[in-house]
This record gives sequence, structure tokens and C-alpha cells, in this order.
Amino acid sequence: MTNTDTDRQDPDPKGHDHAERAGDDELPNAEDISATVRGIVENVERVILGHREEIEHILTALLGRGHVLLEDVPGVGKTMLARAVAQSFAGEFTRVQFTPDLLPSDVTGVSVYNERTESFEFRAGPVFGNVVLGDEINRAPPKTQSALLEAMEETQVTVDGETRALPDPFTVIATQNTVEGDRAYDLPLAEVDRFMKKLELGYPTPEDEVELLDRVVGDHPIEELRPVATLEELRDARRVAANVNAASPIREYATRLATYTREHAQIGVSPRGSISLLRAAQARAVLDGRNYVIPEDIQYEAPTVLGHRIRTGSGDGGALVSDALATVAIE
Amino acid sequence: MSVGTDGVGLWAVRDRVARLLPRVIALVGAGLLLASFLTVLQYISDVTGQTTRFHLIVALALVGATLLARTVRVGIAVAVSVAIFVVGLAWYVVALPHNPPLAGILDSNVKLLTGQSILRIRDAGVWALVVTPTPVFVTWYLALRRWYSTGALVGGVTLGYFVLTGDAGTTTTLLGVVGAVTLVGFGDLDRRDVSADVAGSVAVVLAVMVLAPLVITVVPGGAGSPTGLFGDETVTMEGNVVEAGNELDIVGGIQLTPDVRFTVESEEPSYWRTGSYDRYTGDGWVRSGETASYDDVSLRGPRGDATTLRQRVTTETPTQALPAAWRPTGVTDIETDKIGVTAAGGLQYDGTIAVGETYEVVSQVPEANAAELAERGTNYPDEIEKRYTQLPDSTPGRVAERTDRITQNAQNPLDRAVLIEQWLETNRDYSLDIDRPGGDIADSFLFEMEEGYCTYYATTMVTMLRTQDIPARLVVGYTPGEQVDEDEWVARGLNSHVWVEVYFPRTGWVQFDPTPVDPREEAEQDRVESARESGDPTVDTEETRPEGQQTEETDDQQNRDESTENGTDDQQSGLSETLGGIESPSVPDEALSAQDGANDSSTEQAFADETCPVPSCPEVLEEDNATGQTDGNGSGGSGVSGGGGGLGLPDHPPGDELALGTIAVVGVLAGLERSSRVQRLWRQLVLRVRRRSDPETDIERAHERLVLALESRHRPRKSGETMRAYLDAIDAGPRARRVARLREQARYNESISREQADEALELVDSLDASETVSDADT
Repeated sequence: MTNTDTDRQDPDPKGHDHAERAGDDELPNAEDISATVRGIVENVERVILGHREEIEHILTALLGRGHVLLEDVPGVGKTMLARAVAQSFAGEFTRVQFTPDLLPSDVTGVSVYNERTESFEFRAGPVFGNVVLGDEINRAPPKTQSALLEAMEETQVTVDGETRALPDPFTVIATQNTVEGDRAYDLPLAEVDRFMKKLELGYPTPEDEVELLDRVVGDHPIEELRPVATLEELRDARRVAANVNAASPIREYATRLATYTREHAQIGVSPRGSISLLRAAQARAVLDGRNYVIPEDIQYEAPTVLGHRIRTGSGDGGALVSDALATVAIE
Repeated sequence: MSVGTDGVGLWAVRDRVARLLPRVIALVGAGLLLASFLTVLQYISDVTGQTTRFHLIVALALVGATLLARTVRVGIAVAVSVAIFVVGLAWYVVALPHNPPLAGILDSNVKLLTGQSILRIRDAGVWALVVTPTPVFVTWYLALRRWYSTGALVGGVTLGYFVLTGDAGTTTTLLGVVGAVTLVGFGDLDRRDVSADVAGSVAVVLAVMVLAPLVITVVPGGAGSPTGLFGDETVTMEGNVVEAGNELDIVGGIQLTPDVRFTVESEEPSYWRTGSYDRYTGDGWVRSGETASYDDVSLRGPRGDATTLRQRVTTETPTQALPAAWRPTGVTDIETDKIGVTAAGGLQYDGTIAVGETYEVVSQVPEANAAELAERGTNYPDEIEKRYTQLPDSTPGRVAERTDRITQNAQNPLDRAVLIEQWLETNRDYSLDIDRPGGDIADSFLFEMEEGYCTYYATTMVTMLRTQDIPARLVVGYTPGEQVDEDEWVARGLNSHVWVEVYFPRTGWVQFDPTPVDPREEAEQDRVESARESGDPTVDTEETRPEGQQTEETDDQQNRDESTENGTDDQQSGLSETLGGIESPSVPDEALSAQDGANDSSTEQAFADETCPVPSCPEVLEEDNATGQTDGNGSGGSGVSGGGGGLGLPDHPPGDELALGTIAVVGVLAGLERSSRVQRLWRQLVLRVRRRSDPETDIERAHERLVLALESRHRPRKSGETMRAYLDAIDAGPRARRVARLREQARYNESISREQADEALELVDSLDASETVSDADT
């Protein structure tokens, strides 16, 4: 599990949030960021075949300060994907395997008494990473799940009464196993809502799979994956994304989409969902080298951002999102 | 977090407005319907000087209806208002000065419904006040209660009544009908909560209602011309004036008819009058009161001194007029059962008198000289004063002010009349070719116009006199005509004329003519000669034909010449006394000639110059009473006008036309809206024509034009389709994409420069020009 040698970022209370305020000191322009991010995408593609869109989605979540829920069958490369992303910008990759007996402190870390210094010292848990893979999150009991979810929401953890900030950037990629439903604690809607996006990888095409097998002969390519960007660049990218212009027609459009889902489903998109949609669209704009959001960004992001937040009678939020996109007028 | 709660609010408001809209429009329709018949009632109350009370009553009715609509049930409200209506009418009938029998009232109502103006009712003002509140209240109340159809019915019936009386003009009627349809149509939409599509249909129907009458002849073979909302036709003086019937419409340019109408054998020439008008509407004249049958009335001469004048009239063309000198007391040699006597004592003939008929009229021509008239004072009978000094409330105050100034040195009513007459004669030029002014005729003639003809002179003089509380009325008829023998005169159509009669206590109606004589006669003579040149056989009788007759001049000219020569000294001095030194040459001549004329061998002097105070009968009042009580069966005699003049009441306020125009435009737009192709063309045109403004607006326009152009050439852009997706789907060219990109920047990045906006506009222009978007580009 690895990359222990990377420079672990000391928790920095100022640097990791509200980057909007940092707009004064020169930000790189959106096109440069776009190039950087595309570099990362291509880098990851060397390991993960046939999932370019999903890689982009994960990076938009990363830029938009969101987290990703991957729902899929085992063995399609979820872990590999998360690890490759982290490695591409020299971020620290950590992994938590959720099991029914996992304790919250196994996620956040514990204070250990050091006899030599005669004091407690904090031993950070796996949540202190730039890219945290929460594997099979639905297999852990709710208490442990919520420890992770709180960390996601607040980008900080509290252990033994002491609050510690998480590194910047911090993105959780949680996976949810769909095959063993009877032994799982399905995430309630309120918690699913905290993920910016929910993705499904799916199986690679036969051609891609052949190629994949070909690559794993010998050393696995992940071992040779080199960073193509720095953590600093990624932080800049997040600040640029946060400062992308979302004009009022765009904000209204996002609102109307959310309103539409609320009018046509038992539970529609929450305001948090609208915010996520806008942030994802901002990140998407950066990916495209623009410093303003256009309706296409919203439309592109809506299925992955809104779908999992909707409860309809038939259970398929995705279809409703498609309806909303086809119906709600763009102004 | 500001991610658009305001958007949601906006939608809710829009939704609400959309739901309220049909009701609002329906109420606007009710307002139009109310406005249509209130226009008529307002007009009546203005003419009769009841405006203030009328407005009060209307306001009370509207406020009452608005308040009660929330509280009182429909049945009670309607019952109460109908009761008020009935009580009001009963009171009105009881309060009538002459207390006519019920049969008379019914009969006169029937006459009203066959096209007699409400203004012909003697107490039209009171009538309007009594009638107004109920329909206003009920219509508005029902509309507010959402009983739209019933409300439209009530308002429609009221309007229908005024249509039948002829008081509601075409435009007003149309406005009312459109209002009623709006009320019913949108009211129905409101009650059913139907979609906006149907509203568009209703709007189209309304527009058709407004526009169709403009192009379709309503009654085949009737008026024969499309109903025009705007504009007048040129008419002849005679048709406009003598044949006007009970309602005289003042028109603009006018023509003279050279045809010979009748020959009069009489010892004295006279103005052959055919009728008088008492009620001035601001733009026309109405003769109020009933017409009695000649056989039921005994005609009396004036109470004061009078000379008997026998006139033998021979008709030269079929005519409906009974010309006679004032004041006629008897007619013989003609079917007298067809003769009507107006409330003012004039004669009318119900039917047509054939060519060559000869009949005799005996008149008692009153006598009085200037000195006598000057002493008559202002002790007018109440009835005369009330009826003949009434002016519309809307008469501008400056008319009275200027009259005050003109007559400031006058000592008595005669002085005032003379001064006004002279002022008009000297300060206005005679012309038949004028444009009809808008607004009050007298006011326009006094302050805006420089020339006019007799109708304008006389109307203005009457108005000015009335501002001085001197009873005066408008008289129509013929000037004496061409003298062909010592005691014979030939009157042509062009001799038709309008003059003034002023009331003097104990003498009666005295004639004044403010129209300058010379130019009038020149115009008449020119017309006769041009008609002769063109070989018109109806211009002359045996006697008037130039070959057979030495006199080329008309009698009037001769008269004038002689009278100026013969001006008598004593009268001149008498006048200058009366007028307190004001120079006033004409009046004394007349007063004198009226007095002395009988003894004078040169009878022409009686008609010297302008004024000709022929003393008239003080019994007018009594006759009024007599005729008022009589069950008049002469249906308004000459009311059937032939010349195309005097149709209906004068004009409607321009507001009506504006409202109808608006409805037409809205409807047409709604119709266009239905046809997407036309709509698209229209919007392209609008966008193209509109001038450039700020870059943001321009880029939006450019974009809109681009979309319109693309949509007409490919397919409409779907609702949730982004512009980029649409451009990809139709495989648009680089110019279209460039415009879209610029607009995207402007709209979503909120940054656009002047140059970029111009670039977009030019690109769209070039796209329009190339007619193909993708082809030319790709």
C-alpha cells in the first residue's frame, strides 16, 4: 500500500479551504490548468484502460472539492484507478478496507502513549491522505462509515478531543460492492448525498481487456507510474476551479434542474446537490480550459452529480435527470 | 448558496400572473364595454351640462359595485339596482315638465329605437343621469362576481339601445362589442383555467372583429361603402344643412349644388328657413323635442307687431323642405297631414314634394327696430333661457373670455349680438374648402381657424351668444335667391345657408347672419356660371337663363348694392346711440329696413346685408308646450337625409379608435404568433431593423437572429438542447459557431466588447445574406 515515502503534508489550517479568497495572488490561467489536468488523465490512462470519462470525472471531483462513490462489481480496477490518480500528482494515497469489525479509530487514527517521551502522540489513521480509497464502504457498520463521512464533509477529524485538519487536497474515493447485498450496510440517502459524484466503471471492452492483460505481464505499470504534476499545482487547480465564473443564467439553470427533479420525484436534488453540480461544472470548465461555466458543463455533470441523490418510485434517478436535461429550457 | 432561490420565486410569480391574466383581461373587456356606452352617456351629459353629476354617479356605481361584489349576493344586488332603475325612470317621467301621457312616452321610446338620438329628448341630461347607474353597476358587479356572460349581456343590451338610437357611433359600438367578446371569452378562460393557446385564439377573433368591418360592406346595397373608422366624405352644403333632419353634422370641405330648387312669389324677399336647432353638441347640432302634426296644432303669429307675408312656392326639383319666412302661420294647397311642426315652430314635410307643385305659405313677419330691441332687456322666459343658453360642459372657457372682450362695451343683448356678428364678419374669411377641426367647432373657429363657411360662422356666433347667457339658435334654410321678377325669386341648392336667431323678450326670434355676404355670393355665382358653362340644364329656369334675363347678378348682390346706397340716416344714428359709440354700420340698417321695408317700394332692402332682425313670435313657448303634449306622429319629417350628410351623431373621442387599434394589433400579433413561419420572419425583421445598442443587447439579438435563421433552415432547437449540441447536430458552419461562441462568452462569462458584438452582428448579417448557413460555411 505504499507511497509512504512521499512528503506527507502537515495539516495546514489555513491553506486547505476557501481558496476563493486566494484569488489575489496570481492564479494560473484555466488553460494551463487544463493542460496539467489532461496530463494527469493521460498518465492515469496508462494504467486504467478504456475509462477516460471516469478518470475525468474523478479529476473534476478532485478539482471541485468533492468525493466520489464508485459502485461496481469487484475486480474492475477501482483501487488501481484511485491509486494511479494519487500517484500522478505525487499525492499520498491511502486505503481503508472497510470490514464489519472496523472501528472508527482504525480510520481516523489513535493517540498512543510514548513511554520514552512520556506523552501521548497521535498516530494518524489512513484518512490522512490526499486520495483516500474507502474500499467496500458498505460493509462497515454505520458508526465507522460516519467517521469517514464526517471527515469528508469537514475535511478534519477530531480524535481524543483534539481537532486535526486533513491534508489538502483531500479526496475520498469510496467503493460500494453491489454483489453482496445481504452482508452490507447500504449507505442511507443522507450519506450518499455527501458524495459529489457516483460512478460506475463497468467492465472493459474485450479489446481493452486484452490490452490490459498484455500490460500486466511483467511489472504492473502502476509501479512505474511517475507523477506528472505537483501537489502545489493541484492546489492551484482547485483554486482556479473555485474561481470559475458561474453567471446568473447558469445558476438559474442549475436551480431549475434541481427544481424539476423535486417536482417529479419522491425526493429530489437537495440544495447541497445544486451546489455540487455547480462546483462540478466549474471543474469541468477548467478541464475544458475555460474560466466560465456554460450550460454544456452543467449538462455534462448533471447525470453523475444528481442521479444518486434522487429517489423515484422506479428507483432510477438517472432517467429523471435525462428528462430534466431534455425538458428544462436553457436561457 | 445564492444558487437561485430567486429563480424559484420568479417562476412562482410568473405562474401566478399567468393564472390571473385571463381574469384581468376579462375585466379590461368589461371596462371597454362600460366605456363604450358610458362614452355615449358622457357625451349626452356633456352636451346637456350634467357632466359633474354624471361623473359622480358613474363613480358611485363603480365603487358600489366593487364593494358589494364581495359581500352582497347576486340576486339581491341585481334586484336592488333594477328597482333603483325603475324608480329613477318613474321619477323622471313624473318630473317631466309637460307630464306627457304614457302612450306618448312609449311612442317616443319606439322612435328612439328607430334611430332618433337621445339628444332629441328635451331633458336628455336628466334622462342620462337616471339611466346611467344601473347598467354600470350591474355590468361591473357581475364581471367582478365572475358572471361574465351575464355581465356582458347587461352591458350589451345597454349598448344595443344606444346603437338603435344611433348615438353609439361605429367605433364606439365596435369597441363595446369587442369589450363584450373579451369579457365573455377571457371570462370563460378564467373560469375554466384553460391554456394560453386558447387566449391567443380569442385575441385573433377580436382582431378579426375589428378589422373585418374595415374591408367588408356590412349591409349590401345599404351604405354601400365599407364601414370606415376614420375619415369623412365631402358633401354638399345643401345636403349637409337643409336636408340634415333633426341632427346637423358639421363637416369640413363642402360643395355647392347649382340646381334650381324652387321659385318663390312673394312681395318681399326673405331668408327661406327650413328649420332651426337648439342643442349644440360641440361638433354638431340637434333639434330636441317632438314634432307635432300640422293638423293638431294651431300656428300663431308673433305677439308683437308683424306683417303678413304670402309666399307662393313652386318646386323645381323634388324636395323634402318647406321653405318659408319666419314665422309661418299657415300652409295651403298641399297635403297638410304630411306637414309637421317642430317644437321650435318651424315647418317640416314628411315625404317628398313633387316637381311643379305649388303651395302657399303665410308668414307673420315680426317687426321691431333697433331701439326697441335694445330695450328688451334680459327677462327671458325660463324655458327659453334653459333651452337656448345651454352649452356643452366641455366648451373651452376661452370662448367666453374672448366674447367678454369683444363685447365689453356692449350695454344690452342687441349690442352684444351685433358686435359678435361684426367681429366674425371682419375677422374670418369665407371659404368652402376647409378641414374640419377636431374638438369644439366654435372654439376652433375662434382660435385656430382663419376661414370657414356659414355653418362655422353661425355655430360660433350662437356659442358666443350663449356664453353671454343670450338665448340663440342655429337656423338653416335658403337665402332669397336670384330675383327674376319684381316679386319672384329663384332659389338654388347653393343658396342653402345657415344663420342665427337671437331671442328678444316680447319680440321673439330675430335673425342675424354673421357670414360675410360678398365672398359667399361670389362663391355661389362662380358655381352657377361654371355649371352653365358645363351645360347643366338644371341650373336655370326659364326666367334665370342669361339670354332671357338681363341681370347676371344675383338678387342678393343687387340688394346689397342698393342698401348700401340707400342707408338711412336716422337708423344709423339710432344705432350708434345704442352701441355707445362703437362703430357698427350694419345692424341699424337692418333693424330699420325691417321696420320700414313694408312701405318701401324697393323691397330688396329688407334683405340688405347681413343681419336682418325679423321680429318673431313670442308664442314659441306656448307652442312648445302644445307640441310637447301632442302625440307627434310626424316621424321627424326631413329626418331622412339624402345627401349623405348628417349621418348619426358626430365623432367619437379618439380614445375609442386607439383602443380598437390596439386590440387589432394585439390580435394580429397573436395570429402571427400562431404561424411560426410568419412569426419567425417578423422577428427576423424586427431584430434586423432594431438599432444597435449596448454590446450585451446586440449580441443577444445577433444570437436570436442566428437561432431563427438556423431553425428556419434546419430544425427547431429543442428545449433542453445546448447551443453547442444544436450546432453539432445540424452541422453548423464556422460563422454560426463563432457567433454562438461570442454569445456564450457574453452571456456566461459576462464579458463582451463592442467589437465582438459588432463582429457577431456582421456575421449574422452575412449569414442572412448568404441564405445558407451550413452550406456556405462548410
